[in-house]
This record gives sequence, C-alpha cells and structure tokens, in this order.
Amino acid sequence: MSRVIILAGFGLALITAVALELIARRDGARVPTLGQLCAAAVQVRVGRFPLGQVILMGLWWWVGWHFFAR
Amino acid sequence: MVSGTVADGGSAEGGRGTAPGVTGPSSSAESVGLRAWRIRLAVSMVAMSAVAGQLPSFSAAATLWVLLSGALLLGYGAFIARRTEYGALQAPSASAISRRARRWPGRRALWWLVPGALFGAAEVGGLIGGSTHAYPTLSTLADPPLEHYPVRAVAFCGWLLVFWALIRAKR
Repeated sequence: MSRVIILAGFGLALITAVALELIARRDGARVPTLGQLCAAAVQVRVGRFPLGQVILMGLWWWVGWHFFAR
Repeated sequence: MVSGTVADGGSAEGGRGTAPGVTGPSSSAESVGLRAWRIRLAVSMVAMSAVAGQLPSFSAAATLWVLLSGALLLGYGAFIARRTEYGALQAPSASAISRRARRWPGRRALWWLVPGALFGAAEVGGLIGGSTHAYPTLSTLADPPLEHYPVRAVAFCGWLLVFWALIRAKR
C-alpha cells in the first residue's frame, strides 16, 4: 500500500508538471515554462557571484553522478 | 536544448537582416559553420553517452566519466563555443534570452511548487521508509532500467542535453 501511495505521488508530480508546461506554452499564458524558470534562476547573482548558475549546474551535475555513477 | 539552439540560430540570422530565401556568400558560410558546429556537438554527446552506457554504477570510471563530461561541457560552453561561427551567430539571440530571463516571473512561478512539493513528498516518504521496495525513492525506481545499456546511454544523453541547456541559459 505504501508503495502505491508513493508511486501515485511521483505520478501526480509528473502529471502536474506536464500540465503546467502545456498551460505555460499556450498563447498569453501567465505561468512560465520550466525552461523560462530555469533560465531566470540561472541568472540570479549575489553581488558578482553567480549563485543561481552554481546551484543549478551543481545540482544537475550531482543528479548525473547520483544516477550514473553511484 | 539542441532544438532550442536551432531556433536561436535561426532568429539570430533573422536579427542580422537576412531575408528568408536570400542567402549571400557570408550567410551561407555562417549556415555551413552552424551546421558543422551542431554536428560536432551532437556527435560528441552521442559518443560520450555511448561510453557512459557501458560504465557500471559504483565504479570509479563512471564517477570520472560524469565529472569529465560535465567539465567538458562547461569548458566547451565557456571558451570554445564563443569563438566559433555558431557562437557569433548566437550572440544577439543569447543576449535577448538573457534579458528575458532576467525578468523573474515572480508569483506566477509559484505554480511550479505544486509538482515540486508532490515530488518532494513522495521522495521523502521513500527515504523515511528506508528506500526499499515497499518505500521506493526515484533512485530505487530508476536503478533497474538504468542497468540496461540502451536506457543508460539514452538517459545519459538526456542528462547531457539538459546540462548544455543550463550552460546556454546563463549567457
């Protein structure tokens, strides 16, 4: 039962993400696409330090290591 | 991101005042350079993925390959791409993207917390349960298919493409 609940959670997360992306891609949509959100996050700086870039790329690098190396 | 960069290249050409269907010697050379650059990147990514698919988990080689692949993409994005014809073509478009990206979407972006929270709840639930069959995390679910070479190679290629998209987004 716990497995079903957790799988349903992952499934719902995927469905809502796809739905949001589709809504964001419609003409005149006010919700940003995931790509626009990531592009905005990458631009975040604290002073001259590229905080958004370091966090997002570091996170994605970790995801690659986590799934393909560890 | 490859598809995105194709669109960017096209808009950059348009930004230079090249009318559709009218290609002079200069734009033709740029077009050839753009195509060659894209082929080089695609071949590199496919080759890196083909190698990555053969490396087993929990191996030093796999760790090194992931680190090396990320470093190579970062280096390529930072130093080499800017000096190619493609980099030159990308410049106007990339700056336009940056200007758009600097406008933080604000409260509208909060909608993305919904799938994020759902994913986080499922992942935390799995972690609390010990990441077992009864309480799976995303890793538990992804590991069995990733043991097969084609899935592993394709997934690695997807990881590289997203990494490249993030590198392009910073410009």
